[in-house]
Amino acid sequence: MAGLASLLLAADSPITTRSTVQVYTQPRSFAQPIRPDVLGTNITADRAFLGAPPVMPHTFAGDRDGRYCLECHARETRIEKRQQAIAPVPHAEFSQCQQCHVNGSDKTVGLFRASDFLGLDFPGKGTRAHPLAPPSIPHKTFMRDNCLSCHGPTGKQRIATPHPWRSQCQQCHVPDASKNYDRPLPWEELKGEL
Amino acid sequence: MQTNRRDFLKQAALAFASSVLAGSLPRSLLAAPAEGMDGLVWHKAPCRFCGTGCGVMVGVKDGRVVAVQGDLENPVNRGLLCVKGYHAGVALYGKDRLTTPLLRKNGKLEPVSWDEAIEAIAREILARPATFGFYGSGQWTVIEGFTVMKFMKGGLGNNHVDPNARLCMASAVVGMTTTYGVDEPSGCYDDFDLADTIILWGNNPAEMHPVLWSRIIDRRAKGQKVEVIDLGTRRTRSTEEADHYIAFTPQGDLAIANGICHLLIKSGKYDKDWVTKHCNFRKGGDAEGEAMTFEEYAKWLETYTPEFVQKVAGVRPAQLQLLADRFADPKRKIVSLWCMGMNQHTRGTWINNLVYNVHFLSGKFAKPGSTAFSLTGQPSACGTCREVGTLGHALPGGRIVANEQHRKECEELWNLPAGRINPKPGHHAVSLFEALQKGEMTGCWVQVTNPAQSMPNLTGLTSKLRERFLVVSDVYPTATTDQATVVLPSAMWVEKNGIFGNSERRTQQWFKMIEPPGQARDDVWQVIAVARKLFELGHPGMKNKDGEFLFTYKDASGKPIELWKWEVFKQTNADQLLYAEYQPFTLMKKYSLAPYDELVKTRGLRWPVVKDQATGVWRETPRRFVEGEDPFVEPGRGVDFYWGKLKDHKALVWARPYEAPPEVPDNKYPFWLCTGRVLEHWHTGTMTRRVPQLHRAMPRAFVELNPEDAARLNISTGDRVKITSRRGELTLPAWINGRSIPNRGSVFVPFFAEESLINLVTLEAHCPLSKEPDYKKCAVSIAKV
Ligand code: SF4
Repeated sequence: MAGLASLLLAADSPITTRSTVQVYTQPRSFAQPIRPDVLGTNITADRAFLGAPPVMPHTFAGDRDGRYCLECHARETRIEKRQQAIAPVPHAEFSQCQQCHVNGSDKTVGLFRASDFLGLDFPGKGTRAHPLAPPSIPHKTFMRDNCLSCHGPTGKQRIATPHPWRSQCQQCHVPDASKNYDRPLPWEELKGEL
Repeated sequence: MQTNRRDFLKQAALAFASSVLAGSLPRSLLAAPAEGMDGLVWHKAPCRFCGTGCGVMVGVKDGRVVAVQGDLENPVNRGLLCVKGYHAGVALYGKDRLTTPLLRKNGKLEPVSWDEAIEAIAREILARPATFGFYGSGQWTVIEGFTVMKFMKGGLGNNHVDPNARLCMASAVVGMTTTYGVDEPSGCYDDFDLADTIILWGNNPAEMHPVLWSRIIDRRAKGQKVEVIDLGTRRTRSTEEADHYIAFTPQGDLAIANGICHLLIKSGKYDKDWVTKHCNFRKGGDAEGEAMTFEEYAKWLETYTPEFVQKVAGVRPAQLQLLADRFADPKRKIVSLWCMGMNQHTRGTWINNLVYNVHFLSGKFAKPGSTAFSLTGQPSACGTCREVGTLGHALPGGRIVANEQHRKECEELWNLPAGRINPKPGHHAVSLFEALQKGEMTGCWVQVTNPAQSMPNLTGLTSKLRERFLVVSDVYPTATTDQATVVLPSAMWVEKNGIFGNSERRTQQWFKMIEPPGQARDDVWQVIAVARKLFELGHPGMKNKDGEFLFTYKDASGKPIELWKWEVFKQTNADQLLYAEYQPFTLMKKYSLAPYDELVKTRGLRWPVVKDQATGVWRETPRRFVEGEDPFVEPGRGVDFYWGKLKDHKALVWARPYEAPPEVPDNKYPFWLCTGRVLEHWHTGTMTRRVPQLHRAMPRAFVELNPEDAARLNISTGDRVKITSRRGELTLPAWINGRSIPNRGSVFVPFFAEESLINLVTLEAHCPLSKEPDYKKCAVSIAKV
């Protein structure tokens, strides 16, 4: 019974009423209890492999309208306003957030079938010319225009920058061409001799 | 000469070094695999899933796919993917992949050797060749479809080949062939970048063609104005971006399209010049029809007053006027988009015709930014089902079996004795399964699809499959492999060479990147191996005109390549061999596909692809029938419908009436039921549900109700709701105000979940011209349980 009650509370209560209709989260299976600890917003984002879009780590308001996402994730200024760490979107030119970022909040959902997939792991550190030199960027930069989305105070501690106030990251940290396989550089397009 | 990837790289490197190519081909366009960090190699491929045909880069390390990224060089998606595309590589690695052939013995599927499985199939076909069918899909690669066509139509001599694409875009095909005499769209995705107004006809690209939707909507972020008008029976994610939502009653689309034409002509604001130059008028319900004059057509349209349209379609006169005004505006560029909403329709052919009418009368066709564009669901519904013609009535390259000349051409190209190809059209999908149900067909081979879940009215159409000789080639256990006599484990996507053709006529090629698991083997090999066994058992159809095996291909020294031997097949690029055989088939109807080597070098090319004699460069065609773009247009015509039915270079405007649907809600079954896909899952979910991220996001089916209906019935999210039709019933949790909101009086259920088969409830009524069933409307009752 407790399960059913929490189902009705959690799944049925309107979370926001931005459009004219009320918005609810997805239906659970019949009377499946929802663990309260998965409803918070500070769950680590989850992705299948390096470069895969992370799933949404929290329940979200309005499955239908992706513009809700940007209410919080649009700009870094939100971070101060909300007094809460919210990752800003690193690719502001794309507006259809939910095409790639699907709901991954319900960790109680088991697998449909087991999987053997082994995803590409995180790239490790960039290279440095000497111990005091700034490291290069060890991954692709496409769709990662805002470094602070991941390396700012909202990201994982392990990869957080020690100097978040310096916003011009790419003045010192340069992309490593060998990790940016699909963004050809002008000289690779060079036709004939110089 | 054959090319494998390594050879190609060598050749490409040489070619690049030569001065001829250096000027025309940037290195990045060579689509050569690029080696990056720690032995990780990236290869190009089209996405495995929808008809958008996004380019992906597949990251392979130690013989396994470890990552998938959007391909920045691919003009379709320019680096972006949707969530299914990113996770396409994960879908290869479900733990329960089929890895060994299975044969049903004493009622149980048991592992057997490939030899035993192939022999069992061949002996069955030999015993009953005339009643053995083949059921495939728009997820067949071009070469898989072509191989089956040669095997069945050129070898077995029966035409019982049909794809699940029959359930998907047959209406679009017949719509195009009746309107301008040839399949496939005139416009291309570039038009989406230029249009001022996008009209969605019962279409939800935000979930079904996500990257195309982004391509349209993200223009707004660049400061461009894009108006979206959504005509729908359900408010969806696409509606959230729409400027206008026009709700209509199912089947009312027929009246809306005629109503727009009526207003255009009545106000005199149609494009007289375009219509006179490029259109003839035609009346009648069939594919032939009879000529009529413009005046007669205008008179015929007078039924479709705004009041009449309001009555049958539930659209307010002001809304109809809004649509008419958009089309009447001579400066406005308009793209109409549709997919299953118009195709899965008991009058699917008619509504396709009618939307072309609207664009023809307004002159908004075959112009940059203006076109009527039929989107395809599957990754190669165009490339395989339509261009190769894997349909009961068709032959490769836009030909039909009923046409003697067409049969003769195919027999010549395949080097078959005259008269080999049967002139009698084969079963279409629904009739194939009806015949299997009745026992008129004794066996069927199913590849790349799951009919025991996806056919309509499952009880009526697929409940007797276990009693027939059913061969199923697949990668995972499915509702259909459960019914099979023989299960063959298949290679999937980048575990084999392949070619797909997307919605905008773009043919995209990829190379095999990893080995299939266990004993899984290519579908092409499976068919050739069975054909070879039949040849050895003495089936006369498995010989060509010279008495050689049907699938005889020779190496440079003239020695036949023994493709039926897996060890040989594995070492050979069979795609290249068979494509060389297929490509000439595409010339007659001016599809003119590019040579294989050009496909290898590019991120796909939109056909017709014709070599520029002056420069030697192969040129693709963004817009068909348009002078300056399409090489087959007669100079001076501007727009040339060169396959026009009346051979006068014109298209047809059809007077197709409104007709009520075969089943409408009544007292006993008061709701409309609509079915469809969701963003996260592909078709019957056999691949995408094995991706943990996708499954977790959308773990089970649901029923969506309109909030007012739900309140009246006291149903809230999570309640169990029983849906009952005249054919079956199903209980699902309700989702109110969730992903979408159906119009009042209608409900929506997705079909991906094998534990909740909504096709037990749907209706098998179909469009009489295209034979495509209507999954979008039938009458159901709703009860909270
Ligand atoms: S839009 Fe279609 S083709 Fe593109 S990534 Fe998504 S499923 Fe694949």
